[in-house]
Amino acid sequence: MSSASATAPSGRRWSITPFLTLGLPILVLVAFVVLPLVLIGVYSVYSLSPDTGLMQADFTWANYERALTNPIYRNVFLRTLEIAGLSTIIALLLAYPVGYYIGAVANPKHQGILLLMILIPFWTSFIVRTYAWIGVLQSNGFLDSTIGWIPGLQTSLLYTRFAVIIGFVHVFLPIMILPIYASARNLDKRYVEAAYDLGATPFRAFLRVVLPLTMPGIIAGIVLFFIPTFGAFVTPQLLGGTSDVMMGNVIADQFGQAFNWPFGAALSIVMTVIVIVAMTFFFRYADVEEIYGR
Amino acid sequence: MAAEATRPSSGGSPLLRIYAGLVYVFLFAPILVVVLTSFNPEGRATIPNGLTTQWYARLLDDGQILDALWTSLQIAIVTALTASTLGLLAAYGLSRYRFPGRGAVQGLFYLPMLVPGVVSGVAFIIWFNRIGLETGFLTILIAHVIFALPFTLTIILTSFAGFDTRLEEAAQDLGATPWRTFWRITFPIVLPGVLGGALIAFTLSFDEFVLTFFVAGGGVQTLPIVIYNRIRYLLSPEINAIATIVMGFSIGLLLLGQLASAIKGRREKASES
Repeated sequence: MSSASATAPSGRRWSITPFLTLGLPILVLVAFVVLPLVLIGVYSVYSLSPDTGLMQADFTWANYERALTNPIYRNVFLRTLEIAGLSTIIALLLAYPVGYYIGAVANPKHQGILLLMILIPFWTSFIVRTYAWIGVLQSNGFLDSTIGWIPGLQTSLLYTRFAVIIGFVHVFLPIMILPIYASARNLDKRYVEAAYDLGATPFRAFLRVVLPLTMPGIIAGIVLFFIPTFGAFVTPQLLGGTSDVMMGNVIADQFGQAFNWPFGAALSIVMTVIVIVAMTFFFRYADVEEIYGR
Repeated sequence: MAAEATRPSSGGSPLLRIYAGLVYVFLFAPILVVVLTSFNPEGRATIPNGLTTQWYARLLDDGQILDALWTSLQIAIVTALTASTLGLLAAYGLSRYRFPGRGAVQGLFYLPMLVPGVVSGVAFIIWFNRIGLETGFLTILIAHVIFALPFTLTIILTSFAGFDTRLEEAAQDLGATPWRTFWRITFPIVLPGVLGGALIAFTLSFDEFVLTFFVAGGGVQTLPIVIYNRIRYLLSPEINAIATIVMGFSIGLLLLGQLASAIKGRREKASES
């Protein structure tokens, strides 16, 4: 930082400053990200004292054993996978044509506004967007009072699995559209034209040319959608019934009602490992630079 | 069907257009229902028989919501300042130096993005409990800064990416100290990124729910927490009014950010030609 360093030969000027500047942010992240995560790992092998019910230092795999083998938690885990997976498939069916339309079909002059229209709902309060579905789906709600006369639609759809899935799709759809849009925009249309010139039908050209070329965007979209859905807590809490409890809710309960921190910690580790495996898959098969670099 | 649309002559298949249009309707319809309900005299989501501003008027008497709004604004402002300062420091270090373990440091900065929200919340609460930090304003602030930092850093890093370091070298060759070089040359150039990073941190903090739910404790309540509690335990029609205001505010901030980057882009184009 002294003026002496300023007159040093070029290339050695920044020798100390980068460490000074990186030091503080690294310290903050170690103190409030790394150490808390390590502590979850430590607590996950602790046990509850049978006498007092309080957490005690221990080394046991019992919490993991319970998390992975107890049928109750196995069912919660499978249900979480099912709800998150189903939501992801439905979201992809909605997101792909839209991302493709904005990136490869729409007039380039309109691309900016079309993208902005995707970002606006995304930047609208998450809790409010979830709440909006309560008003739409509840009995005497918006759907009920407008199209409730259609047979079979009179009953409230709120507090059903349908409500949870529609909530997920609505809340996280924009983060799936964005990478698909990015890969559709980078699509070289000459390949598609070449397929036509060689006599391919539109369906075949889509399947053999467009789909493979936009695959990085599809994979990125799936992973970015699946991760927050898999770890969700608010949406099932507000829109789902008692039979739609997901992993996130069970974990939260261990720190509230059930008050079993070691078990909650073990469940958290299991969930984090699943998410990190999914992310690794993402970085292996989707070129991130390709999607966000340009 | 979709592939055909890429033919320059077709201009987009009508089916694809209609489909995309319907997805936009799906994205906006529930939001519009909330806005509509906020003016509905009945106070619930139906086709309104008239218009009223009574729910907005009621907000002014709702101490809990007003307090929570004030708390959320304070936390969001301090989060924006802290996250953009830390983000600027980190971006400077990361973009100016190649050192062993740089990849690991970069990974560390993005780690909070990879951990599911519930797990982060759990990690914070056991850690604050362990180190004896009482839950409240400070713990919410820490959680929000950690949550926002990867996003803020990403934005600030992009403004360092196209930086011509010869400008700094020139300043130093002319005798400027590193400190002076930073404030007179570097900072003004990366300022748009820093402001963008602060804006995103503000928005993320103002809207954050899951982490706050875990680390808030009983005493301090942010606006999303109050909204959540009202939704769960009693339906109050004012929620639609405050939700409409909050959405208008977030959309305003987003448009502001877009406008700023559009102006910046136009200026850069102008200076290039």
